[in-house]
Amino acid sequence: MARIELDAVTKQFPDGTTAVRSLDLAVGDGELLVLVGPSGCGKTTALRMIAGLEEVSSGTISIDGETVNDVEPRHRDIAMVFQSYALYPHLSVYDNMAFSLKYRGGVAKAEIKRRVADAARILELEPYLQRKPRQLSGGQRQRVAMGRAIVRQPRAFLMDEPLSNLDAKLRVQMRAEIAQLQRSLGTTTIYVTHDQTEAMTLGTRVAVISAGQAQQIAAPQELYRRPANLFVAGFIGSPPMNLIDARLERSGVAPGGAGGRLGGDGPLVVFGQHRLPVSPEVMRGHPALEQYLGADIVLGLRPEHLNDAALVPAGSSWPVLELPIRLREELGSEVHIHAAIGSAAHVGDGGADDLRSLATIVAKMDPRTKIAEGETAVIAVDAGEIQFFDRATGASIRR
Amino acid sequence: MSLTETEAGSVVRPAERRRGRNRPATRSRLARRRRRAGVLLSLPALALVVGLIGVPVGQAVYYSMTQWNGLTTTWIGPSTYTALVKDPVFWRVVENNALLLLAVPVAIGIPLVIAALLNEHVLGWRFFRSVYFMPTAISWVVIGMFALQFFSATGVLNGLLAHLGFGSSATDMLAGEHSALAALAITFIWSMVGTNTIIFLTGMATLDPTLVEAARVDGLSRIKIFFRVTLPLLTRFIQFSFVITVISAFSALFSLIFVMTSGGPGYGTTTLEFFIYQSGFQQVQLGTAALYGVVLFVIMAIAGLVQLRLIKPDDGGGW
Amino acid sequence: MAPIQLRRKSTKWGLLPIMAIVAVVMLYPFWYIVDNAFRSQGQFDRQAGHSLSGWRQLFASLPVGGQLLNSTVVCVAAIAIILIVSTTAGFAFAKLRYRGSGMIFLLVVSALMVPLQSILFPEFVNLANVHLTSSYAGAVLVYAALGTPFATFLMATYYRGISDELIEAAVMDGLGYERTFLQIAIPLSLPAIATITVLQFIQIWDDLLVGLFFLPTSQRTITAGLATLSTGRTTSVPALMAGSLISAIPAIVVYLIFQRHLVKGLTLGMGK
Repeated sequence: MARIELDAVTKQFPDGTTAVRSLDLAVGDGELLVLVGPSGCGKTTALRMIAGLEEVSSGTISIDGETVNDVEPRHRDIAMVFQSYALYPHLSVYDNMAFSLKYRGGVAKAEIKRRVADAARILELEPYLQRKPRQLSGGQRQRVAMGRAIVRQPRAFLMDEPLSNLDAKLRVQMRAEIAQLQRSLGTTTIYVTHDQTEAMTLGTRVAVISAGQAQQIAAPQELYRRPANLFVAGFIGSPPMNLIDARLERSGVAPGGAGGRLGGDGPLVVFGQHRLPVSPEVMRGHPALEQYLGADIVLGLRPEHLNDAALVPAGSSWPVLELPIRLREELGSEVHIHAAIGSAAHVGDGGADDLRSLATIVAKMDPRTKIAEGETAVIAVDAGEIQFFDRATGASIRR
Repeated sequence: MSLTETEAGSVVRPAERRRGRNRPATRSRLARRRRRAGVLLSLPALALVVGLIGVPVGQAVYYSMTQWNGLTTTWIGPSTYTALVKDPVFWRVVENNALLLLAVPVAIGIPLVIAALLNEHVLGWRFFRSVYFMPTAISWVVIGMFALQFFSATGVLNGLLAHLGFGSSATDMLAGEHSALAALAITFIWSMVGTNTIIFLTGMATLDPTLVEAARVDGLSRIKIFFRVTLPLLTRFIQFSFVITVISAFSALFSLIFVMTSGGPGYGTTTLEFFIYQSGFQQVQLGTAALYGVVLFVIMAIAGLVQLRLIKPDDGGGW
Repeated sequence: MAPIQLRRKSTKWGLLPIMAIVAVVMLYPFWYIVDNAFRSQGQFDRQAGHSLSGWRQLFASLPVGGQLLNSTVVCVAAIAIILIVSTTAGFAFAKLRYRGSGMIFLLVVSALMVPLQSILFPEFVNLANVHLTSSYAGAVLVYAALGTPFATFLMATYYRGISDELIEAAVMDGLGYERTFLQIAIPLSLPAIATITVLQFIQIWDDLLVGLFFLPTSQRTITAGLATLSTGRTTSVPALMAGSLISAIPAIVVYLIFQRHLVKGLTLGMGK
């Protein structure tokens, strides 16, 4: 069990690229921290620095309080699971798992046997112990890679996208197994992935990384409900949060909303011909908004906070948007409606590809909705869930 | 798309089948043209090889069972082979080849280490690689020239020994039968360094780096990693290098021997390949030369077949 | 918990001295040759001083210029034949497969296994009987035959890498297979052709046995000339060194310029 801390860790490669910028990270004992971000964001580089496979340009990495920057990988007592599994093709499954114990020294033969047997049992690899890696399926190989890490009984696991070479169904299954395994072993684990679903389901905490910098480090729910900036907002959640360039007006009249009348003065969010009132509660909950009155901001609306106005419970006062409908996707348990908002769509630089919107917003609707493609529909907005972001910095506007 | 051999060596071409279904007339015409072009284009190579290599091989087999001095041929028959086995000269010569085999592990081991060093990609490694590989461009004759000067009584080696204080160990390596062979072997090893280093370096470049990284994280020392991970993964390359080195030792040393020792002293450096030259050129026993030539050919053929098996591992297919 | 030890950062740099030593071992012979080529015999014995006397001796004992020319002629002729023969055959075996072509290909490539020494005398007698040993022709043919198997293998491997569709498209466009070969296959295979040229040049230039046997004295190559000079035992060492230098330089120059091709030739031979 170990605490791992990264303090202002930076990695610059000889060709000038900075892969990791002043990363601060603290992983608690027994925690499963996920590093998530798009390809090339530096998460794997950070992991490799923790393993000792890459040199740290500046900053310190410490394990259990001791700085390990200059410590060779083999003395850090960390086990790593590689994306390609890194199984020795000339050795059997058993030998692969026993390999490090045999040649690292210090473990008796009987103990090696016991540990490998235990790991094989947990990972259901017992029938395959004498096979060579090329005779195994992808999922089995992945488990051997895990087994090799487990038998070492290290103080921490590092996992570099261990599931990305598996097909979707297997991935879902293995995700659960890894989570259970980590919990039962209680070993500190740092897990790297580009898949935000994996991150959300696995992590005790998740660190969202972009362009070498940590955007936000928090528990999954926190990332989802209170993203710290546009990148996190657009990266976490599927379908991604709708981001709209808008202006926060001081006062004005809003058209009547669904389920009742809504009018009067008060701050408004304006984009295109659309106006959404900002209720006093919302203003109270986001005091910083005061400073943005009259300024350009970015609105964030999660698809599940948009619904068919016709299906909104009576008596609730949800503001509405009238938008032309481009696409209706039937998913069985829900319907995704893509509505056009034209040039108001916020297109971010960098970040997830999801952010390159096609000038539509997506709404996750009740399957009973009768909204169809080609017509203009009335969409209700759960105004209390609107997120606000500074257009210039991308930071979330809250306190 | 690889050549698919069906029964009796005939060839299947799926694209052709497709065309055939639509236009039978064109199919046979096109196929015929292709066949004609194929035969035409491969004829020169076949003619050259059969004429200048195949035919002489057959002749060598024939002459190996005769007594031949270039003018008159006297048939003896397969007994030449049985006589060979009883000939002490034959065994003396074979002994030299066998002793040379001892040099092969060294000719492979040293380049392995050098390749491992180069593989670390320390600054300037490409320059060193160039330097190490350069001797392969040099004629064995030139190398032999230098080796002559190196091993001679007043040569570089003795000069070096004197320099280091071992002056009393001065030797004339080329004067003793076994020491001359040793000198030959050392020169051979030196010459093979470049080739084998490149082979192993290429091999190391094809290895999955994560395997070594995994071993590093798992706690193995660099030396252990070299012996337990890198070396086993290089097996195919080591085998290839072994075959090439043996083939070189048995058939490429002529120039070296010619320049350095002329086969001597005595039979000290007379390997199979040199003895062929000797029996033919000096003793004008062309039948004997052919006999030894066939023996050499058989050895080389075995080595070549082994190599063929190594290049095409389990998957089959291809040629 | 394992005790933490600091990494020896110097390990990577500690390799440099070793590599330098190896480099010295590899390069020393060249240095020796260059150094001693510019001495007189007396200076050689004393290992001091320099002069051009060795060169004068060399040129007196050997028709150096003529032999260099001979080497060049033989190389160029043999390589030309090898290229023509191996590109055509390689193309045929890779793309124009016909019944039995697989076996014929195997036959041609298997000729690699035949060492020259085994067929030396029958070959000589054959060629002498058709009077080809009194000119370049005999040696050129032998070199060509010896180089064809590997060259054909290389070309066939290379052509296999070209998509079949490319050839079929040309055929559809009306080119016959022969013209397709000339206008499409050849231009695409220039890298392989370069590799073969470089490999064969070095091999033929540096060869002794064929040059010694199949060439008349007047057409002798520089390598053969140098070798006979050395067995004469009356020549001074500096002259031999000078001879070595002059015969080695072309090959070294070719090596330095075309290193990549040599390496590629070797790796292709490995079946990559």
